[in-house]
Formats: sequence, structure tokens, C-alpha cells
Amino acid sequence: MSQLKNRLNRLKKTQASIDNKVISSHLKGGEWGEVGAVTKTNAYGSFVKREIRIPLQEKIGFYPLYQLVGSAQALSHLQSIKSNVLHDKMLFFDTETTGLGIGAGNVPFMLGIGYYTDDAFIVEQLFIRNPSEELAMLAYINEKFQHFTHLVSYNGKTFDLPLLKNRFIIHRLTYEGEHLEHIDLLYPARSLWRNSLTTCKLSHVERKRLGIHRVDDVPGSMAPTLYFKYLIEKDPNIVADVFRHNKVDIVTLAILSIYFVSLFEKRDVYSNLELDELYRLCVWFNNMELTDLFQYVYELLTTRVIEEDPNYFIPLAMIFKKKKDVETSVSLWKKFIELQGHQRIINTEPYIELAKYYEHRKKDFKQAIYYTKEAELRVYNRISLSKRNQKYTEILQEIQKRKNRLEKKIKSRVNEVDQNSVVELRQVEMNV
Amino acid sequence: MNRLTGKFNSLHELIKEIKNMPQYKAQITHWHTIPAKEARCAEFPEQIQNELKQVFLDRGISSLYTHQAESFQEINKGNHVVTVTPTASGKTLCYNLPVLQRLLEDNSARALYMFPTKALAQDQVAEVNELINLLEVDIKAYTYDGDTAPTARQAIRNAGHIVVTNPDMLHSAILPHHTKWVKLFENLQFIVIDELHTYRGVFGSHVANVLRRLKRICNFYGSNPQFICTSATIANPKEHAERLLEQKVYLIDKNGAPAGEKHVVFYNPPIVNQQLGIRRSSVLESQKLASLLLKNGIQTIVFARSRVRVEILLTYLQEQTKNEFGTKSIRGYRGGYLPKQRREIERGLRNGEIRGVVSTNALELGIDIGQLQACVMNGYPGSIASTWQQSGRAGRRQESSLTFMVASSNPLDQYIIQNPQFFFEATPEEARIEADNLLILIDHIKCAAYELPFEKGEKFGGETLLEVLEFLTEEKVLHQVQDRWYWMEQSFPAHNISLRSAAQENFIIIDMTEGSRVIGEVDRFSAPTLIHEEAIYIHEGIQFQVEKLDFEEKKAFVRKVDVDYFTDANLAVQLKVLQVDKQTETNSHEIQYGEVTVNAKATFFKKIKYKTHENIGSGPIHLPEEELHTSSYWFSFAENILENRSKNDLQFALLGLSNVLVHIAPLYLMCDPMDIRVVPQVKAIHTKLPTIFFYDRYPGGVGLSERLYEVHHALLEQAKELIQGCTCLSGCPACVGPIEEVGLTGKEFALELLGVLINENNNELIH
Repeated sequence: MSQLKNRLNRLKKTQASIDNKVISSHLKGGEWGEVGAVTKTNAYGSFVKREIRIPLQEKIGFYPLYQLVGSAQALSHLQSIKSNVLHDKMLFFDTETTGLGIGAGNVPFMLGIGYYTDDAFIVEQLFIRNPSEELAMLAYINEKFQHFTHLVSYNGKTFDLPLLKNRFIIHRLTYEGEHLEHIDLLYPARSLWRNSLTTCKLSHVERKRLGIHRVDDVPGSMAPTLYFKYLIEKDPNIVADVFRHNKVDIVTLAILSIYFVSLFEKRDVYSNLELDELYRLCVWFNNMELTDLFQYVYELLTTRVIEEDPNYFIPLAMIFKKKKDVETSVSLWKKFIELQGHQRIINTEPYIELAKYYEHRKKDFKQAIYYTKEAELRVYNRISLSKRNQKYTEILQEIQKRKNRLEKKIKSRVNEVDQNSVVELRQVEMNV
Repeated sequence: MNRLTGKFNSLHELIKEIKNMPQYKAQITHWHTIPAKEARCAEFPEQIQNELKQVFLDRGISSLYTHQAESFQEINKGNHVVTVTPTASGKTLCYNLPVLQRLLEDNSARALYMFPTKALAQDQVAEVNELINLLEVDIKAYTYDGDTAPTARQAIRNAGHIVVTNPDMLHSAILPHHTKWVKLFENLQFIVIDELHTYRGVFGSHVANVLRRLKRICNFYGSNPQFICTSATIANPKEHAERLLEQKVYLIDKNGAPAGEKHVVFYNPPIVNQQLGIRRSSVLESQKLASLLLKNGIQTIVFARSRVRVEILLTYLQEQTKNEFGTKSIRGYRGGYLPKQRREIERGLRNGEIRGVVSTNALELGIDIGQLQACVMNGYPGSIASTWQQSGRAGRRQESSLTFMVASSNPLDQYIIQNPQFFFEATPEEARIEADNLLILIDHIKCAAYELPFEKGEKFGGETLLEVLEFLTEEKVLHQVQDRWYWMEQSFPAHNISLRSAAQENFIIIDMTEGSRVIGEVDRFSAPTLIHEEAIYIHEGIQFQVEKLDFEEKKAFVRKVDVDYFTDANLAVQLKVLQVDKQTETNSHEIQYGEVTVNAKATFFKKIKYKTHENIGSGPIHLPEEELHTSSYWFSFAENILENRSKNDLQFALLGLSNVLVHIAPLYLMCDPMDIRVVPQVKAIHTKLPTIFFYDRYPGGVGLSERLYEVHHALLEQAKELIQGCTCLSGCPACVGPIEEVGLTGKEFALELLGVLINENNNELIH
């Protein structure tokens, strides 16, 4: 033994050094009771479970928990969920793991779940005191799955759930959650707050939008280190903060669900939104084909766009163009140009779009060439301001092509006598 | 010969005439002709599915070669098989046939193909898909490597019947994510390993461990796949396969494929200085022969030993043949060229647009470049196996082929060229691996623990598993609960472990001539001697000078130059013995094997003028020292072993003997000469005696020194034979080294020393 040991130690120097920080601790061994947890045993073994009941009246941040009661159905719009969403059939879900990625060696040492009962919101936290307890924990959650129809997570689609499924495969246990429809709140959060929040991390979202302020929270990234320390020292107090962190994550999932639901129900909340949020919401309702909500938000939005930032007219105009409501688009483009004034405009899109409209729809080549020339001017201004680059040269070429074609059309319309020129014109148009 | 143009009408005519042409005749020391070989065929085996057989009948193929049929039969019996086949002998059918047969019988079956490089994998998938298309069945074969689009990956994992990959991908992507590959692992029936001989040395030792992991995962999912391997000719294909797979393997080595007549010509450059024993440069002679072939329209491959030589030869050849062809017709090929560039060159060779290619051993593998007509080897490739592989690149079925082996002045080359019987009669070298190299083993035990927890009683490599697990537990990498060890670390271990080279990182080379552009890369061990500041780095025949080497960031910044010299760096080495594992004693000397620490530092470089190869300057190299723990074999003897000789004389004798030994060591090892290093010491720290050390240039060692320890006596005999056979007067680069290095008496003293060492051996044998 000692000889191999010596060689191993000698080789260690040549090896990439193993991160081996010794974590000092002054904590003495404690009991699970101190963190409010008990040992749970089933046919597959034991693990530790902490259960917390939160009365539905309790207000977490801006919202009381009961707000989801009876109103969860609206969540089905978020990810085209097919089945009915009932608040007491939703399982909120978040894991704490020993590493990154979803390789076979990354172990979720804590599974946090939350759900509604008649009078309380329950958070259950399943924790393994060592990796051999994982099987019992998996068997427990498998049974839990049977009582629910929907899984609610934050980034669970690409991380927590595939990771959990790995564990079932590794323990040769059948995963019995296939019937659960998955609502991953990260996706709507990203689409709504893409521009208005610097990051869509859950802790940031809850602070900025839900009024939840964590005190002394350990970041999730610390969880593995604390767990490894616990494995060595076996003192539950070491992971107490991880329990706390995970609990807040689970509760936040419920509150975030309430927030999203409110966007579909409480029109008064719109006035609190930032302009970009309101615009994103408008896009949501359009994509979800919720006509009334779309119309309502759209009207609210136009007033605010005029006051705050006319640039939003451009993407809005495109929405209407796609909806084949070109007249509205045209009015928005014109409104945009009117509000901004030519000189301040950088984007050529409204000019080009208007030129297309007049050329093809109205056959009003004079108007068309007017907008084309304005577009050309905008680009010239741009080029003189910035270094001549490929992008602008290409745009300019496109514009000049359009201009030439229009000039030709105008000429041939002046000589418009015989039918042929019209035919020719049509052909030119088809090539557009 | 066409009298007007001075050109030959065919390769056949050139082969006949060249023997008599005065400018070549004297240098041809040996002409070996291997007669054409008829095909030996066998009926399609009875069990073979009709639709599969029909595909071949439709293409006018009514029988198999014997080795193909034998392979099919043995696999059907359930054996693991290794087939030894030379280049272009239809080896792919040895595995494609049984695999497709099984897939036709059972659509849920799966096969995993492993090739040493991505290029080979892509070649092979194209080939097997061609067969599948002809079969018109729903069998899917895909490559799965770093180039595979993320969107396609899931489909491949679930639906690919044949997944074609490389060991690196298996190691870092497939095995650590085995839960995504349940379909494959549950139904895996065949593992095909092509080019088995490439899995030797460090790389092979890693791959052996990857295979241990692979089998462990298969076992977990309840499959027990059969291995089908192919290998180039080596001395120990069966043993090597069994060491890699750790299973009994059935050997098929009777090749039934036909071959055209083959001429292998040994060519020794003329002596230009008898006194100093200096021969004309093998580079210049190789270039002369290659340009003769090329100018006569013969598609030729030139092999050179190093990247630098490839570039030098390429420059010379493009210059020489510029009247005949554009530079696009003669190309270089080596590691460090970008993949796209390589694919283009391979294509050009197949369709004949490229007439000549100068390559390192990168083209030794089965990459499809079609069959060329002639081959010129600049220097002995270092092993018999490699020589035949390289020579096999020339030879179309119905035509004669011609191979020149142009000897350099190094002792190994001179030994081979003076002893053609050694080359043509001896068995080729052994492929060796050291799968239980402690460093490599630990790395893979970590990866394996990440993939699945270890259980008590499990086997992984040698007897040391339990101790390693305990060690890793102490290191807080694993966590033990009762009889199981779990991975308990945040990292992803496979990411920090590279199978390819001791150097886990490469240095990239950035051309600063116009903006900045990455033109190539160099492994970490080579960096201090190849891309130190002021070095001339040659890429695609273009010279660059290294302006700045950022050692920390692993970047070399180079700029195009046009100079008439290249650079050659010197490496200073210190060595300390840590532990002795084996030893034997004779009356005159003591032979030992054990572990050592080596400290190496690049010290200075020389500038060497093109064509004349004279030394025209030098400069210092300031780079950090590298430390290496490895295995070593050494022998030492009394200071007064040479009676009446001074300490100084002994030093020359030692140096001379080391020079010879390190060059002929590859006769017994299948390794790159750079993998084994020698250090002579007049007074070793360990023994206080004159000692010659050999060490493996890889942390922990890969079994090369151990093998040399075993063949110590034969090695000395061979050294004596070589020195005696050399025609020089008092030492030359072809035996003990040039007299500038070993003095005027180096040769004499080295022989004297050998005399004492060997006589004692005989005595020992007699007693």
C-alpha cells in the first residue's frame, strides 16, 4: 500500500492539481431537527425530508399565495399547454446538484417540490445524506408525481428534468412522470424581460418584479461546495442555507406563476409595466391570438409609444403587416416619420416599406420614389457618419436599384399608350 | 525511353531502366521484388442473407477474399476477431458484412465503429452508406463527432444503427452522457475498431482504458458486444488486441487480396566525405528521386519523418517541377493543416489532379487517397510496420509499383540498409501499451466513477483499483458509502483528460504578416524546440520566423520571412532515480528498471544553411524547464571498465554508445524515436557510476523502457554489429555520431566498451 501511495502522491505533482480546498468549520455536529427535517424511510431506504406549510393568506413579496387558486388556467397560454391547468394539480420543482451540466456524474442531492392543498402551500425538500440514499428519494418523488398533472420549473426543461431522468436510468427505476405537462417559466420570463432586465436569473426577476428580497441567501453555485463539506463533517447546519435557498426558489415559482396569470387578468397592472414589457406583452397576445387582450394592450401601447419612444412603431407596423392589415401599418410608419422628423431617423425600414406599399399596392410611383429617395438620404447620412462598411453599401445598392426601377416605371407611364408597356411593367414587378 | 523528351513511357520502363542508369546505380544497395499475388477467394458463406449477397452479385462480385469469408464465419461463431490486412485489401468488408447481416436479421441491433481520426470515420460512413443504399433497407449509419450538428445529435442517439465515432468522442461525449444513449448501449452487438495498431503507446494506453469504461457501461445496460478489429501488420496483433480488449481474440492473418508486382528499393546516398563518413543529404536524394518520378508523370507519395522535413521537401519539389506542374499539383500533408485543407488534398489525390504529395506518417493510415504508383521514403520510417504501411500507398492492382527507401545517415537507417535481411525477414515490431500506467489509470478511474459509482469487487485494470479508490476518496474526489464509491466533485473529469498527447494543450501559431490568422498548431512537448523565439517555422513550404512566444497563453506569433536557413534546437536534460523496480547483474555491469524524474530545458538553437547544411549561427532559448516523472531503464558499470583509458575517453565511449543505442532501440519498439530518450552520465547521481539511461517521454511511462530492459543483451549485440559494419574510419552520424561530437576515438572506445559488456554476458550465459 505505502509504495503505491508514495507513487500516487509523487504523480500528483505532475497531474492537474485537484481542487482540494479544506473547508474549515467551527460548527459542531447537529441534529436534523435543527433544520426542521425528519428522516423518511421507504422500501428503498431512507433520506431526509423537510416539510413547510405556508398559509395561503401569506403575502410573499407583492402577492398573496391564494391568488393562484382557481386562476391557473391562464398559464396554459404560456407554452401551448393542452390539458387544464388547476392550481392544486401543479407540482413546482427545483433541484440542487453537485455539479454543472447533465452528465452522468452530476447528482441532484436535493429535490425541492411545492404544491397547493386546500389551506396551505406545501414545500417538501428531499435531501440525501449520501449518494446511496438517492434511490429512496427517487422512489418517493415518483410516487408524488402521480398526484399531479403539471410540472412547473425555471429552466427545468434543459436542466433539472433531464438530469432527474438520468438518475432514474442510472438507478434502473422507471420514471413515472411522463404524464406531467411541463411549464418552464424561464421561456416566458426571457421573452417578456429580454430588454428590460439585465438578467433573467430567478433571484433577479423576483427582486425586480415580484418584490421578494432574500436575506443572507447563499447563491446556488455555492450549493455543491456546502454539500461536499456536509459529506465530510456530517453537520446538518452546513446545508441549512441550501434548504433555505431552495425553499425560496420553490415559493418564487408559485409567485411568478401568479404574476404571469395576472398579466392575463388584471388589466390595471399594465400601467406599472415598462414600455418594452408592454410591447412584449402585446407581441405575446398577438402570438397567442388573444384578440381582446391584444387590442387593449395595443391601444395602451400606442399612447405610450407616442410619448416615450416612437421607435416601437416600426416593429408594431410589421405585426400588422403580417396580419395583412397594411393600412394600419402604413399609418404607423407615417406616424413614426412624423413624430421623429426625417433628420433624426436612422432606420430606413419605414421608408422602404412605404415605397413598396406605394409602388405595388397603390401604383403611385411618385410617392414611392419620394420615400425611396428619403431612404437613400438616410443611408448617405449614415455612411458619412460611420466608416463605409459592407452593410450600408448593400442597403444603398438595394435602394438605388429600386429608385432606377421606379424612374423607369414613371417614364413608361408617361408614354403609356399601348398595352405592351403595361405588360412589361407587370413583368418588372414580378421580378421584385 | 523517349529520346526526344528524355522521358520514360511507363513506370514499367522506368523500373527496368533505372537499375542501369549510372547516376542511380551505385546508390541502389538492395532491390527486392515481391511477385504479383493472385487473389484467393472463397464462396459467400451459406448463412449470408440473400439480399446482402445480391448486392455484390449485382456489382459483379461473385466471391469474397478468403480473409473476408473467414472473418464472417468466426464472428458468426461469436468470437472477437482481429484481421490483419495490408492497405487496399478490402478490409472494410471484414466488419461491414457481419454487421449488416446482423442488422438485416434484427433491426433493433446496434453497432459502434471507432476510427482513430475524424477523417477516417467520415470516409467509412460514406462507404457503408453506399452499401446500405444498394440494399434499400432502413439502416442508418451516422458519424458522431465534434462536427456533428447539435440538432442531428438526438436523432443519431436514438435511431442510428451504426454510430461511427473516434475514441476522443467516446471518452468525452458519449460515455459521460451514457444515459442519453440507452438505445445504443442496451442493444449494442458489435464494436468495430479499425486501425488497431494505431492504439499503441500513450494513446493506446488511454484507449485501452476508454474501452474498459465502454465495457463497464455496456455491462450496466446488459449488453455484451463482440469486437471486430482490423490492424496493419505488426508482430503481435493477437496479443495487442487482447491487451486492448482484455478478452480472448481470434486472429485472421491470411490475406486473400491480390496485389501487383512490388519493387522495394534500398537507396543509400553517396558518401561525400570518407574520412568523416558523411553522406549526401537524404533530403536532397529523396527530392532527386521524387522529381524523376514526378517528371515522368508517375503519381508519387513522399514520406518524411518530421513536419519540418515535409515542408523542406515540398519547397524543393515544387521548385524542381515548376515547369511541369503548378504548385497546386504537388502538395504537403501533415498534422497541423486544417481539416478542410486536408479533405481537399485527399480529393485531389483520388481524382488525380494532385500528382505528388509530401506527407508525414499522417497519410500512413487508411484515409482514402486512392492508390498511387510510387512511394519515396525520406529516411527509414522507424518501424517495419510503418514501412510496409507507407509502401502500401503505392500499388494499383494490375500494375507494378515502386518504393524507394532513402536512408539517412542516422544509425538506425544505416543498420537497416546494410542488413536488408533484417528488414525483409524479421517480424515487424510489437505494439505495446501500458494500460495500467498509474497516471492514465487514475484519470480513467475518475471518468468511470463519474459515469457509474464503483462497487466493491469490481475490476478495472490491474490489482490496484481498491487502493486508487481509497486514494481518490482521501483526495475528496470520491465519496465512499459502505461498498460503493461515488463521484463527488463539481468538475467534469473527461474535459481535463486528453487521449492524444502527454501535452494536454496545443500551442497555436498565429501569422501576423497581414492582420492575424491562425495557421497551425504544435503540441506542448515540441513547442520549446520548434517555436521558440527566432525559430524558423515552415508551413506549407512558406517560412515564418517566430517573433514572440507567449508560453503562458500558448501562442506563437510568426511573420513571413525569406531566409536560406532553418533552425534546430538543443535540449538539456537532467535525470534522477526515484525507485528501482527490477534489476539484474552481470560481472561487468548492472541493469536496472524503475522510476525517474527528468528535467528538460531547451537551451539554444543553431541556424543551418539550406543545401549545404552548414551551421551559420546560434542563439539562446529562454523557456521554463519541464519536469517529468516516468519509467526508465539503465545500466551502469565500474569507472575503470576500460583499462588504461582516461575518464575523458570513457565519456566519448558512453556518448558514442548512447547515440547508437537510442537509434536502434526502435527496432524493438513500435514507437516514434522521439518517444524514447537517452541520457549518458559519466557519474550518475544514483549509482555514482558511468550509466546510460533510457526513459519514456510520457508521465508515468508507457512500457517502452521496460521492453528495452527485457531485450538489453540483444540490443548491445545489435549495436556492436552496427558499429563494426559501418564503413567510416572513426565515427560518423551513421554510427556513434560525428567526430565533432564523440572525438576521433569515439568509435574505437565505444566498440571496446561493447566488447567488455558483451563478453561478460557470454560468460554469464556459460556459467
